[in-house]
Amino acid sequence: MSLKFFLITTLFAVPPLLGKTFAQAPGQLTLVYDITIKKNKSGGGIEETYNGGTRTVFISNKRARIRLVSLMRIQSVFFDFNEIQERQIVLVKESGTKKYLYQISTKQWKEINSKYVGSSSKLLNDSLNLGGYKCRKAIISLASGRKITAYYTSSFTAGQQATLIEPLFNCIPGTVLQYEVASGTGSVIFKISEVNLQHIAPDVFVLPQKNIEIRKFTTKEAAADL
Amino acid sequence: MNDNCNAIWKQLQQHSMQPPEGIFDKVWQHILQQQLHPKNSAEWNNDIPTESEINERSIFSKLQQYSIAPPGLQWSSNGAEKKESPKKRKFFYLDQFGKAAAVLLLAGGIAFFWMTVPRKKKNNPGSQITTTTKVSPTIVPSSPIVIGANDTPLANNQIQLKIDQKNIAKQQDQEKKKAVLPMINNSVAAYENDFLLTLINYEDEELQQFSTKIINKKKIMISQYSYINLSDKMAQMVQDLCSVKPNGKPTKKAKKTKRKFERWKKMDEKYFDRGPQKNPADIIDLSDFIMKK
Repeated sequence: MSLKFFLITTLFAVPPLLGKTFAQAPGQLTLVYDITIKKNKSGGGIEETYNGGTRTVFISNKRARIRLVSLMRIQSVFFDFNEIQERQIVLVKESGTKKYLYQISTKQWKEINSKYVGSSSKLLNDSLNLGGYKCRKAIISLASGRKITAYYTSSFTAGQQATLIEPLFNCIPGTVLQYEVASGTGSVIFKISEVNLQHIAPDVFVLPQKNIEIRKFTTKEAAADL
Repeated sequence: MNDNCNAIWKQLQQHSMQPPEGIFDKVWQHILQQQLHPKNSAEWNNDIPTESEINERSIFSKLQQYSIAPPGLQWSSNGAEKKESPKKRKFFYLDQFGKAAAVLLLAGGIAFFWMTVPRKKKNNPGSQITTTTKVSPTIVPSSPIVIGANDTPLANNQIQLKIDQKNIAKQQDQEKKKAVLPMINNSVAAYENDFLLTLINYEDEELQQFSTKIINKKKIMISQYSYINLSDKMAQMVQDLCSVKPNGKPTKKAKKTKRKFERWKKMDEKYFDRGPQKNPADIIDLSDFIMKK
């Protein structure tokens, strides 16, 4: 009796405490990526202004935020799935003398990320331990031909909204904890430094509005640039 | 009361009565005796005029000419008798010399007060501005400044002020710069939440302090989940930015580094601030920007 009780307790109580074995979407998820940029040249260039920065992803129920912090700038993308589609996404530049925000519809956001449409992935056997999670290697191939090396974990997912938040990883069966873009001149790596499943403070998702210029974005402008 | 007294006086003035017989003779004789000859004098009996020499008309005319000083009585406006107050008369009585002396004393006292009492208002430009132009320069407080606040009252002041406008403008600009980001362990003041702009805009001691902090720590904490790790190459560039000559002025390397940061800032804004279609949080967009520069 006591042995059965112990086994049942271990089976159901311990894993939730660890939070690392079940492939489920946690209600609260914080992913902190360190940005590392390497360039094949001596001396420091403009890349050093982004090198060492962080890209943090906050996901809490129906809200999300991606925040980039670097010496060059601080910028965020807010997602609120409680809102109508026309007002679900807001891009905010939080630093500099000219701060601004763009209110983007879901449709516009998809058009901006159209470069990821048609991407495919090749899952490899290589593995890496990142942030305490065992991760498998995958090569993401974009429609443009560019390749991105990613390491993902199947222990948990980022939720249903992740397809909109991180459209790059739609073809990955898990949560990517490291990804890299390499070229002849250097590489840019986003590597996980912390995974946190604890409650996220509500003010993380509060939109900064003070002294920020509201700019309008049209799809035509997006098409012209893309 | 006044009318009553006046009426009485008028009646008295108009009143007359016949004196008794021989009264004038008797009165005059009495006066003569008193003035000319004292009592019990030997000449008393010899100089007294006879009854024949004295007649009523001459005696009466002499009486008319005779006068004595009236008693010292003062009549007030309501007819009531008022007693004399010798002390008051003395107190309010000032001759010309006294008046001049009093005026001189008063003038001297005012001059003494004017010269000796310290006039603080002269050395306080704030209050001087308040009294003359009704515009006081707003000294920005040290608390985080609202970005975009219009607080340049000195620009509206038309009157030349005896204050160091350059110092006040510099202080205001310095206070504007210190928009403190929320930190956990460290606090680093950043200009407009922008660290590169801070390195470009801060000067002298502020730049040294800011740079020393970030170089020593090699990490700038924004929040629990957001921070910046300073790379070795970036730390070297920041040191170059802070290098000064023996006279305290920035070196050529410092100026070159500053120009480089300014150029990078413009490049970044040109690439990413045109619209949301280019986002540095996106690895492809960031890679395109970095690798092509």
